[in-house]
Amino acid sequence: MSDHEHELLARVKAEGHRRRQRRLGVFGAAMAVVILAGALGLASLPDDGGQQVRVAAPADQPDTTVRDATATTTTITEGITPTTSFGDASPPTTTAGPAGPSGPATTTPPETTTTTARAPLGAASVTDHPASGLTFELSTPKNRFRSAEKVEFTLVVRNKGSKTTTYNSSPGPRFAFLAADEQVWNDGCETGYPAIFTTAEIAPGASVTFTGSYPQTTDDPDARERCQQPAGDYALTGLFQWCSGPAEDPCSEGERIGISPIEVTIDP
Amino acid sequence: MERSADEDFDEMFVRVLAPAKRLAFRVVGDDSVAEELAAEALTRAYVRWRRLRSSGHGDAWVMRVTANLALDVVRRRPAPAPAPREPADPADTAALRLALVHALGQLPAKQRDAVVLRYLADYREDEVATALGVASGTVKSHLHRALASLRTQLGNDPVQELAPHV
Repeated sequence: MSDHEHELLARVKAEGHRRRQRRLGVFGAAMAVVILAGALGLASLPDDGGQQVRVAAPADQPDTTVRDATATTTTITEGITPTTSFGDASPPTTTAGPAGPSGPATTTPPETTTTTARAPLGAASVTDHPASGLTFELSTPKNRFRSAEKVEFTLVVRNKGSKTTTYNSSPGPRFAFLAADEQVWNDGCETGYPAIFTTAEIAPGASVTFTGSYPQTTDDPDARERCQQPAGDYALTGLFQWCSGPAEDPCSEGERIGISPIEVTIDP
Repeated sequence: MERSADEDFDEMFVRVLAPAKRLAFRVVGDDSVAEELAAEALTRAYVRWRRLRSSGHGDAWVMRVTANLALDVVRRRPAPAPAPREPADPADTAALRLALVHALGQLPAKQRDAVVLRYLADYREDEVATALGVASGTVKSHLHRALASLRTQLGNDPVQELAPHV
């Protein structure tokens, strides 16, 4: 190995070590949020029988029915990057090197989510994000599932603002199942590949629908058992990257918007 | 004595650095950027090395990430790239590179991965199959469909440059 390669290797390891530490810190913070959600009643809310889909209405948004409105449908098993996990890049961070997850070095602002409605007891939630003009309707057809029964969920993102909104469409939203004390499953459980970064737009009044399912398979032997976790009470949540930067680099600014969780029970 | 994870990473680094840089150069046409992209991909590999190491597909993973980073750089910075090392190679022209990047971006993810590994990283078909966890026949199918799509978008000549033996 040449001196230059030695130097490069040392740099790679130093940066890699720093990122590992950061990921551990972010994971701890995500768990704290879940535990806090549990303390607020998420884990003790009554079961709705598994059939009724409830949608909580934000105060300024009377129409809360999850409608079709599928301008585009993206299946999250395509293009999900295994390099990211739920909660990644929560703190303000600067990505080293010429290309971070979204390209050249960018500064990611801290996540700030404005939630005007929570419906953890049902199988749907609505999150309103005034800064972007977006609302998020996360839903499952029911909130109680048999063991090994596939949990299918849908996220409808609507632009209720007056401006066209840009978002990171590759990989798109990241979803995660959170148990009381651990992250059971996230997009990293899938056999996915790093996707080419692309942006997409939602015009005023339009919406985009994303679908996903759990459990997923994985090519990671270490994660198989975790990713196939069959039973328990989970909070299903997600992150959506809103891009508000200049046209030549739209995702250099914006936020990763946290989506209000819904409660899902998988019976033994 | 069993090798440590760190030793294995060092070995992978030495093995993959040069081909990853070559792959990135084919896309971005700039040596220093290519090296930075390869280093970034290797950094990401180091972060999740325990999993990649056990998967046995660490090399291919780094190549895919390098390719995606490189395609991203070109897509986001459409200004003409510096002069390529082999100016006679029409595949290295900025215009063609941009067109190819755009066309690759239109392909389904698995077709795109197959093309990147087969024609940009110069993997054999069986190596692509192993890296993607699919059968060789599936790789052939992905490549056939991908090249057909690329021909539709770019015409015959650029595809011939990309995949001269097809």
